[in-house]
Amino acid sequence: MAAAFFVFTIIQIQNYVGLSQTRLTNHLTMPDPTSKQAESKSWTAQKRGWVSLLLVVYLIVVISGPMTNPIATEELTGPIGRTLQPVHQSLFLGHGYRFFAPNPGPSHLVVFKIYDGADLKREGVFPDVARHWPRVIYHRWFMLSETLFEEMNRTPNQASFDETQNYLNKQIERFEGAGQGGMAGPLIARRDRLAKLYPLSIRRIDDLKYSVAQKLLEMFGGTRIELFVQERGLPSPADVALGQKLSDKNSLSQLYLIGEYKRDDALPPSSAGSE
Amino acid sequence: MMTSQNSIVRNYFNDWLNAWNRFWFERSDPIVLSLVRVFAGAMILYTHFAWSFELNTFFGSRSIIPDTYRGQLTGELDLFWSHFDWMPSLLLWPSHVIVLIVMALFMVGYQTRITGIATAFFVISYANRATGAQFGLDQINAFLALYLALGPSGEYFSVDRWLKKRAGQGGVTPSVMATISIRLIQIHMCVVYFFAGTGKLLGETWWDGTAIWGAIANLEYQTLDLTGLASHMAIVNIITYTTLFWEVSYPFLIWPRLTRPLWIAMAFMVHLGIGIAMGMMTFGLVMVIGNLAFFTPSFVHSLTNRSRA
Repeated sequence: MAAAFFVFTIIQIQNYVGLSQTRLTNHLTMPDPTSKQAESKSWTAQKRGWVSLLLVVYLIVVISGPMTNPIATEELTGPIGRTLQPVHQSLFLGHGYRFFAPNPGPSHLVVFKIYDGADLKREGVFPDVARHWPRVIYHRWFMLSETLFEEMNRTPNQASFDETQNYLNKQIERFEGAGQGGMAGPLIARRDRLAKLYPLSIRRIDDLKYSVAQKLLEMFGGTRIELFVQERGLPSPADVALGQKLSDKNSLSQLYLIGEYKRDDALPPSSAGSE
Repeated sequence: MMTSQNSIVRNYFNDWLNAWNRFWFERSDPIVLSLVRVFAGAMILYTHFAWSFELNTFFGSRSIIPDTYRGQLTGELDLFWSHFDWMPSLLLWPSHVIVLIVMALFMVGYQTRITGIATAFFVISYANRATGAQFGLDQINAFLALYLALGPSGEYFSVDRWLKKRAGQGGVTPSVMATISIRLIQIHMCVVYFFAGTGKLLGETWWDGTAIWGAIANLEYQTLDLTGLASHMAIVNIITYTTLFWEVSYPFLIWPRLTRPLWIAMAFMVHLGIGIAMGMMTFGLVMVIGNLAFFTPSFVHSLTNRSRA
């Protein structure tokens, strides 16, 4: 409905201001009437009808991406988004498009220390403007460091996860006790979904950290690696006006250790312990 | 009385139906679609050529991003397909070279219907495999590739066209598919701006006028030092509010003839500004390329005629 409304609004605006594609095709090269490739006739009403149906469905797919990512409602957009997920995944469409929203924030770096035995062999960071070139490749590394941070940041620890599950269980009991089974339904679905996704999230983060660590060891040599994340805060206009540089070390947070790995170590068991 | 009310309602829905048909199914000149193909094709080619510098790191058998990563994002049916999942690692480089050739052929418009579909396939495949390292550029590349594959994007500025001319075949035919493809690009651009804009409305820095400072003061993005604006925050406020208003209003004011040129000009300024100052030239340019879909065929013809003259 939202998709259809969106397009109808656009059409109405276009109608209202009288902007039509054909009016603006003064220089159109006219079709060769003998050309067999020519789409010489307009589409039949039946063909237009079927294609219209496809278009409406497709537009729902397009709009449901940002309607469900990063936030969705439990009762409406969430289920729609999950139903359409195969199409989103297949066509790479389920994005949120929240560029620089809600606020342009600080950036996050991955710092690594590689050891050969007990000796520090190399200390590095990604993204690294001096090493990652061309610029679009630098952005790949930047997005990878942001992904690692974001994954760590948004995944609750076991205690918070258990607390959420307990809260949901209590709510479900309350509704069921009051004979409101219908109200409990979405909460049960949410509880079960979170219970299914949580170990996957933990596994995913562990896999990603391990993979990054092993790749860096492969690239730079060494026997052991420590991975850290670090935030570079945004200096205020006043600080900068008073002479602070963007590269000032004061903008950098403490290093936060996220993993320690040996070369060709087996992937450690998930910290969620589910798999 | 009832008959008159019925006819008002019927006329109203007929108006909608006619408008819908005009919007989607009126045949149009594919020159705009072809123009988008040239630039989007170049951007897609460059984006994937750049992967060559880190191909083994991101797509090799021991990639920095585990191949299980994207499947673990949802825990549901995993259709984040990628040809890298079923391709032997020995073929990594040969296949990459073939992909680049296909994309180059699409850009120049050779066998455009085939290379267009193949390009869309590979754009999605690379983006899926690089989940975790992709950004807005990949999202725009992917839907442009999809819509360009759908319509007759090789009708102008293409080897196909040159070959047709040489064979003495006729002129370009206006096409419904050209209209549908262009409309899908236009609407998708509106969706992108609508959610990018409304997402910003949740951020207090977009309301207190300092959001652009957040972009200027981010060292990881910086390619042009604009920190001198720290002493001229009123300018930062103006840029912040202008950007916000432009982005939120884009889905509505890009359509009227009166405001369309201004909103397109703003798109060029904002995105090229992001490209120059924040080192995101690829993303800035691909957004500009998306905006080309709002050019009219007559405008593109006048540009090409002028350049010929």
